[in-house]
Amino acid sequence: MADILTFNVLEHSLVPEHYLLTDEEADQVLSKLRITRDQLPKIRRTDPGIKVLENIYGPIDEGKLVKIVRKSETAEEFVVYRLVIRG
Amino acid sequence: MARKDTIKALERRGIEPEAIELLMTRYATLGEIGSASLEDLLSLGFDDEKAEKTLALIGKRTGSRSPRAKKVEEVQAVQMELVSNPRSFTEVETNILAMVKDMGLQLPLKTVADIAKRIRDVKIPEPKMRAILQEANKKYLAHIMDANESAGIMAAQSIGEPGTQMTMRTFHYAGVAEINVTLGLPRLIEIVDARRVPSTPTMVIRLLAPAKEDEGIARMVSSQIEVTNLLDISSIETDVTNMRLRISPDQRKMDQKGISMEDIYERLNKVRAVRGLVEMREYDLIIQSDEMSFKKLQVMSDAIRNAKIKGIDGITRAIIKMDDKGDDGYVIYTEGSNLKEVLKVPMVDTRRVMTNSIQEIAEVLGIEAARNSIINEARGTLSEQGMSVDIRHIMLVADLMTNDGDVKAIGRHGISGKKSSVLARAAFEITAAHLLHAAIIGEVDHLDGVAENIIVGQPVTLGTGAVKLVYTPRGNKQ
Repeated sequence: MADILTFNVLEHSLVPEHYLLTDEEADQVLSKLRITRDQLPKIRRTDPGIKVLENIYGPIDEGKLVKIVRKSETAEEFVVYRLVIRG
Repeated sequence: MARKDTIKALERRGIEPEAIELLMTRYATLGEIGSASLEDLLSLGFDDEKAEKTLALIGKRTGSRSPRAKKVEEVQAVQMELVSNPRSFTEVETNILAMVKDMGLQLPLKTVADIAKRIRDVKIPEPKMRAILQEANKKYLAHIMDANESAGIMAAQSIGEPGTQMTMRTFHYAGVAEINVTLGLPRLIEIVDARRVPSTPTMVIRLLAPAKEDEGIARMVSSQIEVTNLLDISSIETDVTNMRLRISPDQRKMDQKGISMEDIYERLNKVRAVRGLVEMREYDLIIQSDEMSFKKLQVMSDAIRNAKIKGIDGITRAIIKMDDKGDDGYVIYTEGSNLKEVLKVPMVDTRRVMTNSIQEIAEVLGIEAARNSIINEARGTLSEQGMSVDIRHIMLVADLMTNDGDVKAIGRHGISGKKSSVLARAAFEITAAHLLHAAIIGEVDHLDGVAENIIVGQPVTLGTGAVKLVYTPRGNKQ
């Protein structure tokens, strides 16, 4: 585990920005998109991106939302949300 | 664990035979004994002193707790930061965005950026600008995808059709000295199948400041990455009369790779077949066999021949090449891939290390990086063959493959095999098996998808079939 954390994967050019949402923010997003949590794409708790976020925010439980800002060629910037699941 | 092994393990810990006897009456494995408390032992008939001593000797609890505590500390030591790199807007872009908002239009950022780029040096009065935006918005809305349009089928066709025109087997020497990379249709299939290891894994390793300008330093970095076997830097002689192996290293080759005699000595001492038998002399190493057996000599020779002296597992070759187009300086291209280990090598530009192994990226850099990698690889393969497939189709495929949090293949073992509808799965492959299984467990098909509705002869839930329209003639409004 300490092994993985020697490198902050968020710095890599392939990895888009990851942000952890608070529960209020998450609810806002869900009500704005008019969907439920399980309709979102998933991300595993063991994902290296989540590991880095855990290093910053402390442990992240299942059911949290992560906001990902992708740099896209067709939309310049594109925001997606992923649901943290067990992994 | 067998009872005998447990007893042996307890003996090794220096526990008295009577105590072991007593322990074995209740517990079977070391794990169980380890989790026993002082009271448990007392109830078994130990006296106070003996119970404590035995528990200390087993020492499982305390032993396992301390390394875990240490690990947590280590993690805390590397404090990481969020990486945030928001897009910077030019003045023109901010103006246009303000106007778009003011006019209540919904233009995507990309269109705004494109317009801003075109009119960079031209001064356009505001009313005219508004007219342009109005027109742009009209075009945008006309081109936007309709609700219930079948994006997936279009993506499948758009990638599938050019796929039929691709050459079956192409081996291409990626523009770099003799590194062989699978391209064309086999590579595309490989990407979509989410293979664990691609048939030709390669890495592109960019270097940091001093190494990328100096070929000597770049070579040093490369020698840390490429696997060097004993045979690459020395010759091995089998001396049958004295029952020994003589290794004579080539000094010039050793200097090139930055390996010393001590390095070889240390590495060889870790090879199981010759452990403790290696002896270092001034110019060569001697491995004296401890048995008078030719077989043993042969075994030893085979074991050290391919012993890794230096480098990263899996990387069989590394080539340094000057980057002529950009300003990356010397770049290392490899055959074989091991992202996790390469990231630890000093002077490697960790932010821009690339590999073509998508599974490896998913493991080391995460699911989002894997998605980007799928897009890059698929597009690279298609465009290399002169196929221009709209990137949105590839993005859809990549999104689908990474939707569950890990990289899933498209096909029987991945997405198509996991469809919720029985009829859709049966229509795809191994029909009888799916129907039989569904019948056994009593599956229900809700007829939500395309295939199942075609099977039962209903309109599919796509396009106009997805909406329920009721025509109300004008006269009967009430």
